[in-house]
Amino acid sequence: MWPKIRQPVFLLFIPVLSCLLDTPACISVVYPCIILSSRYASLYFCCAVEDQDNELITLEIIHRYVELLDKYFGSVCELDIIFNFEKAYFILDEFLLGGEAQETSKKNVLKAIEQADLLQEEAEAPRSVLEEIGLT
Amino acid sequence: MPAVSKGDGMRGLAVFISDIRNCKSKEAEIKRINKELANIRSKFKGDKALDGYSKKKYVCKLLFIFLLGHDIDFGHMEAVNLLSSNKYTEKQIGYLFISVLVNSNSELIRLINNAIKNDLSSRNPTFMCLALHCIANVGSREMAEAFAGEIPRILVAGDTMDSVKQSAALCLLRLYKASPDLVLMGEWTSRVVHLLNDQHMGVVTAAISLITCLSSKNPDEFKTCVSLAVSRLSRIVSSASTDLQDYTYYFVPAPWLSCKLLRLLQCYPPPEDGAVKGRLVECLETILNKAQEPPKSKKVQHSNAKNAILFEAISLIIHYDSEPNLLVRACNQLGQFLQHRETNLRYLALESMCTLASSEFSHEAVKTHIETVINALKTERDVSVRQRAADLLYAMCDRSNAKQIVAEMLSYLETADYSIREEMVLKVAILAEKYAVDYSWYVDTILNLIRIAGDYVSEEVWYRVIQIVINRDDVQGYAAKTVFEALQAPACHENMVKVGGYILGEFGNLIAGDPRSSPLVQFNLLHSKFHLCSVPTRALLLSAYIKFINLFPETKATIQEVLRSDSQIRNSDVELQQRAVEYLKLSSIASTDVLATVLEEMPPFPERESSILAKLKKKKGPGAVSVELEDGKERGELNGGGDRAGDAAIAASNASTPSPSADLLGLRSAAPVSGATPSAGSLLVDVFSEAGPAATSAGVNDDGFLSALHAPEASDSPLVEGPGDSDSAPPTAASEDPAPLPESDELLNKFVCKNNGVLFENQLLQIGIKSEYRQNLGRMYLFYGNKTSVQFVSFNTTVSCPGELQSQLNVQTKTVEPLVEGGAQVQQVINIECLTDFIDAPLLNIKFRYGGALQNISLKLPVTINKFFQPTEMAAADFFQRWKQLSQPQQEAQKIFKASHGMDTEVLKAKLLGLGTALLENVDPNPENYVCAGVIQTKAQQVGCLLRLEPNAQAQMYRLTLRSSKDTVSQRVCDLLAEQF
Repeated sequence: MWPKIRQPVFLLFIPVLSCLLDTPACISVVYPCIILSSRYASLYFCCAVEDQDNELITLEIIHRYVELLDKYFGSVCELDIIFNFEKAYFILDEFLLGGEAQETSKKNVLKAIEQADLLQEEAEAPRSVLEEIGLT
Repeated sequence: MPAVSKGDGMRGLAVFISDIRNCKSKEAEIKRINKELANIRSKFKGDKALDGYSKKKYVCKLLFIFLLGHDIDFGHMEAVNLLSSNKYTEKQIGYLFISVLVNSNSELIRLINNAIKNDLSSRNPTFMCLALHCIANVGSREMAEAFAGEIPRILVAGDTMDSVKQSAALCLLRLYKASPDLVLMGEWTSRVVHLLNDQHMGVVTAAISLITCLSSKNPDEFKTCVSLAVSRLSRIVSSASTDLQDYTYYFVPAPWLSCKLLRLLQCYPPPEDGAVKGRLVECLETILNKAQEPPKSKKVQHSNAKNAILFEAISLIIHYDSEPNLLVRACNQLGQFLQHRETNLRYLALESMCTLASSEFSHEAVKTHIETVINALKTERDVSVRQRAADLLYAMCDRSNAKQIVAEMLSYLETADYSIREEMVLKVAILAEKYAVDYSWYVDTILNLIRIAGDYVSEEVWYRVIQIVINRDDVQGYAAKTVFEALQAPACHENMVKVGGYILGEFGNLIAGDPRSSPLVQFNLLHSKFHLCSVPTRALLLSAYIKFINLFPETKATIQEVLRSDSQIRNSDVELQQRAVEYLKLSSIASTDVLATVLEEMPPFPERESSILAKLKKKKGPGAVSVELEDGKERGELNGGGDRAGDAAIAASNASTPSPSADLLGLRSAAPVSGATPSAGSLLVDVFSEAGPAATSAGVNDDGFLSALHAPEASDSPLVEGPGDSDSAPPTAASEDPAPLPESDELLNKFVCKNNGVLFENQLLQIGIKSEYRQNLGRMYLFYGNKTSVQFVSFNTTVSCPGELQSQLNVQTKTVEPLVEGGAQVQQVINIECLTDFIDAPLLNIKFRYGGALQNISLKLPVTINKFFQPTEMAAADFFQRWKQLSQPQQEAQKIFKASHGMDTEVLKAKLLGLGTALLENVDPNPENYVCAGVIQTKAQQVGCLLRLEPNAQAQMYRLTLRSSKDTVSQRVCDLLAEQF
């Protein structure tokens, strides 16, 4: 039977591994890499690194990302990520790019995201009634 | 901050997501998704132009559906449209969709590039960041072409915002990794390096990743970064935990930046400038000191960040390998971690220690931890930690502790995880050989290895033990005695039978004096295992039997009886049958003298790199680094001059040694069989018919004869590796050679569908070819016949792979005798390994003097890609399914051409079979047509290939269609085959 509580499988891939980025055929290339994974309550994160990468600091990359999500959503849970998956991506892009840390300061990342949110609120136009109740 | 207020309130999206979550079954979910897809499709197709908001919402829904694991085949265009919206959120969603869904060779790239170009020049920092993120996420070559020139300018411009600089740096890094040829730093180099001095830590963090990557490729251009990096590091290390504000992470100042700085320094040797070096050593000492301080926080994040820096610093210390004091301190620090309660730390400590063990300064310090490491091997619960412990034991092994370590590894093997057994076996075998003081210990160890983990003992291992026993007189008697005892076990591994058969066949006489191991007892013991063994082992045992007849004439009658029995002489396996017949004949007609010559004791093998080591090198498992380092030492010890010298020596010894380097068991002759057949008329000697004369004259067996017994590929591998090292033509020689004869292409075509024949003939010389291919390997015999009555002098042949081919084919030959008598012929063996698919053919250059005049001929060797075909039988349904799967335009090659020969069915079939593919009957609905299937085997990959040939007898035309998973292969096979009909 279909279990009652069911969550869509959401894998937010953290592209730390440069070799994954280089080719779409990642499976074969990934062979000599190490998968780091980390669990925060109901959220699971995994991240592949190459042989010579620093595993401990990468674990902390995951942690920092969780902190960012936590701070932005306010005690993040998987529902936040499911309903705002695009935000999770935007935060990731501000934090990591091309598999490397871009900005490790929590404040700076969140500032960038909040500025974007402000832009968005200004831009929002009034919508139809149908839209308001979510029927389109 | 509750999520709802954050969202841009795309209610439709939220409702859709809730619907999906409320689905009670997978089917319901799919139904809901399909409904939504239909809705979106109709909206996109509808007449009414959608506003930006709706477009954004639908694109977002598509993205969500994609993330749930469904394919999305539309909506890309709408996403591209969003890019040119001037509303930030619409643009953002458009870019997100493209980053996630558009693959790098999409046709939309041009449109996307346009939008990106606009945003990059907009001077709006948020738009610029979005565009840069998109480039960094897609990173295609087209994007590199379009933007690789522009981004460095953005990166170093004075008025660029910090956040844009950060994105630009990493964006450039991504493009550089994907297309290094397109990213040229040139004039920007020094300004990029100076980003290390930027006030904004975020900019430094991003820029250093770029600089590290660029430095590792062009260290000289970026070497000014060293002193900048050292001073930056020094400032961070000496700062208090609060100085760096938000860049302090759990009381550790800027851990990411520190790690990256230390990593950057690993691209360079220790700084030459004394002051810089002093400052750096100070930093490293401070980092080591901090590791001893009590933690500022109990949180794991604190210790992880701190230790991350520590490990990176230790890597740098190991990389420099010049500061004994620091190396020993590093080792002691790691020693503490070996007993840490955090598994991650124990793992990392073992890993780092592996590299420390190879430094002369810290090797002894590492050795003091042997007990802890052995304990880890026995008690760690995590297999990857145990693996690391085994690696470390291997790395720290030397003459003083070899016996202990080998014993520990052997006992661990009994319970080791299956996944690492083979590697363990190789390591034990290598250590045992390398540190053997007395070789009886070595023999014991290897036999133990076979006993404990026989299944994991690869051929290389038992080849090697035989090689060593043959080369060392002092251990032969002991080896014979020990294998004899080992074989007494009721169940012994087949590998043991192989070693036993070989050693008793060679040295059984050394123990025959003892009545308990009299010749007959030995024979009966071996023969009792015979029926339990596979064909190759049986073949080896038959060879052992014939050697017994030579060693102990008293066993002749018994053994002849065995050979004569139906199960041998009529064996269904052709190799076994042939051996039985030939050995029986040999033993009955040859005189004892002849027999003694033919079956003479094997001459010693030339010393060279252990084939086991080569095998271990190939296994790119964890710990490869340490293995690599070990290899360096080993090679030095074994060959003195290193590989090249060794190989040259082998090549030089070719002519004189009856059984040269060839393969381990030495049963295969690689020496040219010169003058064996004096008639120049029938140039293509049957390889088999030569067995007789070859055996009587040289005491070696012919190649085709026993080749099934060995895996010459395996034992030859050290020679085959690296075309530059081989003793075949040096690449430069090609330039002196004349261009291949004009007709050589035509000659090449003659051999596409056949393997044997006359390649070339003129008034002086005839060259015959015989070749055989298996998987991605091939062997070609060239027979050079002197048609004149005058001898050829300075006869020299070289085979070379021009240009690209060098990396696609591995071709290896041995030099031939420089003198070819009038009317005689010489043979040359060429080993070919196909690394990846190729187009050109190797060149064969022949030079010799005939009556004083220099003759110089260049030909193309008929090695074509189709030679590596493995036929594949399949049913019609399979064929059509695969045919459809290969439907992309570039996967197909087609030619329509006029028949240049008759269109006889049988001839066509023979040619198609000759091509190497399987000819599939009853597949094509039109019986006139031919379809074939095969797989091209290369070392790098296998390329499936389907073929269809449609003859039109009336028009005397053919249509040939090739489909394969690789475009170059389709084209090449099509071109080759079109010349055949």
